[in-house]
Amino acid sequence: MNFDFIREALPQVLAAVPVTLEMAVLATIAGWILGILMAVARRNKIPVLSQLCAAFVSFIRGVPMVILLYVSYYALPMIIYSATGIDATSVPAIWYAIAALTLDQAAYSSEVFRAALNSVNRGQLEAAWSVGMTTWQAMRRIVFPQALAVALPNLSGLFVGIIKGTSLAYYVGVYEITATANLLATPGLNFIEAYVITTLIYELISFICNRLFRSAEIRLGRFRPKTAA
Amino acid sequence: MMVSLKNIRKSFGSQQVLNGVDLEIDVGEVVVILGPSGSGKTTLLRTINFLDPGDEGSVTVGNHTVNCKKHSRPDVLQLRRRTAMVFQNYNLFANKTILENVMEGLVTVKRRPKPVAEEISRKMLTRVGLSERFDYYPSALSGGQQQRAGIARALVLEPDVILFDEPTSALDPELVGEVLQTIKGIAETGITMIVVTHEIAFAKEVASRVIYMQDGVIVEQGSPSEILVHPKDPRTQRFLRRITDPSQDPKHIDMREDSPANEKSVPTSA
Amino acid sequence: MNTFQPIEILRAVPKIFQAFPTTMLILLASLAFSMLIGAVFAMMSLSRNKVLNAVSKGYVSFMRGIPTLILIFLIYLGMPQLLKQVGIDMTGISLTAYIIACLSLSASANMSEMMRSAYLAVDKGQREAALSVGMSPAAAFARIILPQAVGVAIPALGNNMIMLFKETSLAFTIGVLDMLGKARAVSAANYGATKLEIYIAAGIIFWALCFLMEKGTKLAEKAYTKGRKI
Repeated sequence: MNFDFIREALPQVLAAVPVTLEMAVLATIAGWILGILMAVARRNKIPVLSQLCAAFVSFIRGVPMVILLYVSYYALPMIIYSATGIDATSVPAIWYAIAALTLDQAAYSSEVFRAALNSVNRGQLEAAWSVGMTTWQAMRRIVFPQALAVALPNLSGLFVGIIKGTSLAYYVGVYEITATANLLATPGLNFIEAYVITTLIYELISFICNRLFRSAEIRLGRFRPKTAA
Repeated sequence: MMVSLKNIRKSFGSQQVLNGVDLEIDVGEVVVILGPSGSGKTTLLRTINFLDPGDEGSVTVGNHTVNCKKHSRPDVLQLRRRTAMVFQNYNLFANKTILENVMEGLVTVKRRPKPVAEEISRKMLTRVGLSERFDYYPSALSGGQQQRAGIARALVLEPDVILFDEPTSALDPELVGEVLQTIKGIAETGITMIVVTHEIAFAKEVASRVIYMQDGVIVEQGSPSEILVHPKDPRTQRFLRRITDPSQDPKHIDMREDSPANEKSVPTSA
Repeated sequence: MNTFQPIEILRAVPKIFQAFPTTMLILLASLAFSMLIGAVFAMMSLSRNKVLNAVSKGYVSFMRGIPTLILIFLIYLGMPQLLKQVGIDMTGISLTAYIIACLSLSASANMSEMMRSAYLAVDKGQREAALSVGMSPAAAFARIILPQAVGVAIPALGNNMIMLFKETSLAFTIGVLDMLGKARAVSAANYGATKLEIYIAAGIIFWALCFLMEKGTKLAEKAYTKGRKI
């Protein structure tokens, strides 16, 4: 082990953590909002939209993340150019990575949200109607909170998954954790050191995320029977 | 007149569940609806607050009339705000405590300030015997306790009419009594109620009027003694014989009368 | 900016598909090894030994926390360096073997969890009933619990297989000519002029194969559970 290298490289790799988190968090927020909308569309069987969502989910689930990243990176500028005439080639690569990660999260989370919404008994909605709530009130106050409690363990898995997924953004030239480690390791062939650091960082991030989700799960799920918690 | 149903018709697919029901209920009446499984009694109750909208006919509660054929969302909402329902499976909001369950309608629908809603709700829960359980989630309560909370949730809204959908059918036998006692106590306060049930003894004791339904129509109605002691229609007689004389093998009963198979194809009316 | 030529997608498909056997080899080998490793850790997590429980839990959460790409770099670039220091030479090992090792390790965590929860999903009464008619614990496992657990696990297995299949696309990162590696080679051969078309072609191939796997899983589930469910 080359400890001098570690001492020098660690701060630089750590400095890339915000890039990784930025990609993961932005893609998660955008992806989950899309996912909820798609889940609602499919649950209410809105014609055309519902089928489009199903096809989208199937497609994203079937295409490896790397390919999604490449296609997003090369296709989006073309699409933007032909639609608006704006030259998007100078847009930083990170935004194309975020776009690809968003699509991925949208597809997977829509399945999670759909299952969670279905798990809420219809009687809950009817009871809300029976006391005079509007459908929107019933969804917001009764159905969504219950569905969220059901969805959280899977959402936690999705979030850790996307943290891992950001490592592939390296291949479209985003200087996140993995790319930075690689860049530092190559000149002196300090691969072991660089990747051990990287591994520890990713493990730490995953650990913290799992903890945060777990505590959210306990807080939001405290109404559930103790055996299920 | 508190509730008025005119020519309610309803079918699920090809299955005709309600075949033109007319019903008028006065202020303060306690109407008990009896009938075999699949007779349409639960569906009738659910057409009143449009959980299952009728295909034809009209529903009036108080002075608010909604036509089944062309009902708008605000119409239905108005109707639901004049009624309240107690469900067979309680349907307490699982993510809210008992107290929050009762407060929910007051806060979100009636726009009462929270402290006021909380005070009213506490009183109501105490009235149904749940003063020790305010902060429990429904999953931590027995069926009887949940159903009493369900009754409090309905009652607190001061509706024109409370609809009870087989309120004791899902309960363990030893818990039925406490819930029926609670309902009886409410009936005595003079609130208008419609109760779908299988509890004949309860009907005898509490009802001001008993209705016997079968095959989606009202067969006969009258005072408890008229219907339960001296029924005129042979269909009512057969139903009562079967229910009061458990030694009679249900397999020997005419299939036209008891059609559980039909009920199965109509999931929402179960 | 290049113009998009859809016809190039069609041209690329057969070229990429030439690498299908390599991808399949990686997939099937990783599938087999990941299930073997997963079975070991599933048994450890189900045993009564607290230490084994903890080891299994630690392994699973480690594998779930590390990006596969990092695992690949760690094993392909890091491990030979480390082993060289203790005198072991890894130069003769093929790239494909490296990728199979990495993917097996990476997928084994999910496989372990899949087996564990399938085992736990079988009602306790089934084992008790088997023992009550005089079966040995081993026989009860092999004849009663395992067949039911397999039925429970089929959908998750299908899912894990699809995820593993998608991860085989990482083989190109160390220069294996799997389908994506081939796609990149084809793209490089014409100086990247049609790279978007080529990547779209690769995406379509992966999607189509995933679609088949999904359908296959459904069929397998149906065939297997036919007559077994109440």
